Amino acid sequence: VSARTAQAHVNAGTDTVFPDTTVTVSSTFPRAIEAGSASSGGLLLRVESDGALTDRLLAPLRAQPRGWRAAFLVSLAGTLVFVVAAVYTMLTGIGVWGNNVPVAWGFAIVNFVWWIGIGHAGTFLSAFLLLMDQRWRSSINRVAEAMTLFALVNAGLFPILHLGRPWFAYWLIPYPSSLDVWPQFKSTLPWDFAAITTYVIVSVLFWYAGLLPDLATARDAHTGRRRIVYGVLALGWSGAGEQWRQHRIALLLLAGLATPLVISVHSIVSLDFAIAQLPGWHSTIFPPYFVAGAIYSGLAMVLVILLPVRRLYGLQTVITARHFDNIAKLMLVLGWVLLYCYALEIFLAWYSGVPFERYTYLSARPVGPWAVLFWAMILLNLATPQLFWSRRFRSDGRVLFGAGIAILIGMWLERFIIVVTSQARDFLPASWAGFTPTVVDWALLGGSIGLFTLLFLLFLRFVPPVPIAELKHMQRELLEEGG
Amino acid sequence: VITLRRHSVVAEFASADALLEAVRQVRAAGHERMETYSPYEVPGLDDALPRPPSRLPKLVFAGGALAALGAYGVQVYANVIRYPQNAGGRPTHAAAPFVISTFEGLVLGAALFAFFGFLVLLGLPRLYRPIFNVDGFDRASRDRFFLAVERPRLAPGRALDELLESLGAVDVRPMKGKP
Repeated sequence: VSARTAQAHVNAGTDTVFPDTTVTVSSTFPRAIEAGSASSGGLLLRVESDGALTDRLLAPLRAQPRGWRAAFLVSLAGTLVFVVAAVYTMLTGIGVWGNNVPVAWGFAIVNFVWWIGIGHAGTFLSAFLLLMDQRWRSSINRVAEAMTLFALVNAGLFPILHLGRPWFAYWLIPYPSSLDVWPQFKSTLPWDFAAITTYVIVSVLFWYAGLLPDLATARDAHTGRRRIVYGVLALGWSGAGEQWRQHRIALLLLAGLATPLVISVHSIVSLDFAIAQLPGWHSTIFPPYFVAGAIYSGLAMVLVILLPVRRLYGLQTVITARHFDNIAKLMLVLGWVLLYCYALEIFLAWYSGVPFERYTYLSARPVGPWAVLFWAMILLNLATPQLFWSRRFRSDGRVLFGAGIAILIGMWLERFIIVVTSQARDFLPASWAGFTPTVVDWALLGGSIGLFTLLFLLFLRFVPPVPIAELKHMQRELLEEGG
Repeated sequence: VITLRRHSVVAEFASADALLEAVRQVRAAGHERMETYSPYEVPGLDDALPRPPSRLPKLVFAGGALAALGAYGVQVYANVIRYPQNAGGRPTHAAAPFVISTFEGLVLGAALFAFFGFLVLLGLPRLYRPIFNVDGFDRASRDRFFLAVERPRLAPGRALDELLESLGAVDVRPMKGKP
C-alpha cells in the first residue's frame, strides 16, 4: 500500500516506485542506494550529535510524510473488507469459503501459514542477530519486530475463523470447565494454540522491553497529553545505569528464548501437515523446510516494508545499503536451502517407491490441475534470489522491492500447492475433488493485507520506528573503534 | 539496586567520557553510593562502577523450569487423569507429543519471568522518582549524562560539589523532593 500511495505522488523525472517526498534526504536512491554502496558501506552514513540523531528519529511522531493519510485510508478500506468478510463468515458458516471435502483446509490454512511465516523474519532479525552480536540489526529490528506482531495478528485470526464457531476458540485453553472436556494434547490443534499464543506473548514482551528507553525519550521530548501517555508507557524509565544493565541482560535472555521459540513455532506449524498421512505432507523434512521458507518469506516482506519506510521517513543515513546487502545475501542463502528442500522432497518421494507419494510429486503437482501455479512457485522462489549474486542488484531498490513482492507471491503459492494439491489428489481417485476459492476467500486474503498495513501505519505514527538509544550506543561504539 | 537517599548531589555532563571519568574520580575520592543516568548504555560503565551480578538469569531459569513442569503436568492431568481418550490403542500418557506443549510452556514461563522479573528487580513501573525533579533532566534521555552522588553524612560541606565541578560538570545541583 505504501508503494501504491507513493504512486499518487509521482514527480516527473523521479522514480515511480519511490518518488521524492518532503522528508527525503537523498535523491540517488533507489537506482544505487548510495554511492560506494554494498558490503563496503557503513551502518551509519553520517556522524551526528546525540541530540540531532534523537530529533531526527523522533520526527515521525510529530509529522507524517505526504501519503500517510492516503495509505491509511486505503488500509482502512482493506480492513473493513476483512471485517465484513469475517463477520459474514461467522454469521453464515465456513461454507461460504471454497473449502470442500476433501479440501477441508483451503485458503484459511494457506493464509495462516503464509502470515506466520512472514512473522518469523522479524524475530530472526532481532533475536538471532542480537545473540550473534550483529550490529546491523540495530537500525532495523524494531520495524522487523513490528512486522512480526502484525503478521501474527493475521496468522492468529485465520485458524480461529476456520474453527467455524470462533466464539468457542477458548475451548483450546486447558481449564477446568463444567463440560469436563479437555483439549487432546496428542492432536496438532492444541500444539498450534500453544505455539502461536507463546509466540505472540514473547514477541510483544521482547518488542516492548526494547522500546522502553525510546518511550522515555518520547516522553521527555513532548509536553501535555502526549508526555503523560508516553510517560505511563515508559513505566518510569530514567536511564539509570542499573536500568541499562538489567535491560541488556533481559533483552539477551529474551533473545535467547525467542530464538529456539521461532524455530519451534514453524516446526509445529509444519507438523500440522507432517503428522497427517497424506502424500505430500507426511515427510520428516517438513520442520526445517518450513522454518527456512518462513524466514525467507519474512525477509521478502522486510524488503517490501523497509524500502518505502526508509525513503518516506528520510532514514537513508541509518538504514543503509549495507542492511539491504546483508538481507539480500541472507535471502540468497535461504533460497538455496529452499531449493535443496524442494529437490530432496521430490527425490524422497521417487526413492520411497510409494506410488501415492510418487503420484503427488511427479504427476499431481508438476502436471496436475494446478501445474501453472506449481511452476510459478518454482520460478518465483528459486529463480528470483539468483539476482542477488550481483552486487548491483543487491543495491538497487527497485530490484529488491520487486524481488520481495515476487517471493511473497511465490511463498503464498508454495503453501497453496502444499495445502490444496495433497488434499485434492489423495489416495483414492474416487474422493478427488477440485478447489475454487470464493469471493469471501479473496476478500479475507486481501483484507488481511489491509489490516496488516493499517497496523503498521499506526505503528509508524506512534512509535519511533528506529531504535534511538540503540543507535546512539552503536554510534558511540563505532566512533570509539574509529569506524 | 542502588537507592539514593534524600541528600544527593546531581552533576550534569556533556559527554559519556566526562561521565565515565567523573565516576572514576568520585569513587577514588571515597564515595560509593552513586547512580548514573544516560541516554544509552555507556560502554565501560560496568568496569567503572561495578555492581553485583544480576539475579535475573536465575529467575528466568526458575520460571522456565516451573512452567515446563506445569505444562507437562497439565497435559498428564487432562489426558491421563481427567479425560483419557483411546485413539487406536495409543498410550494415554504419550510423552513424545507432550514435549511440544511442554517446550512452549517453558519458553512462555521463562519469558514472562524475564520481562516481569526485569521490572520487579528495577522497581518498575514507578512513575515518580526524585531525579525527575532535577532541572534539565529531560535531556538524560537525549544527549546529557547525569551523575547523582549521595552526600556523605559526616561531611555535609561543599567538597563533593567542588569535586564534581572540577571534573567538568556543566551544572551541579542538589536533588530535590521526596525520595
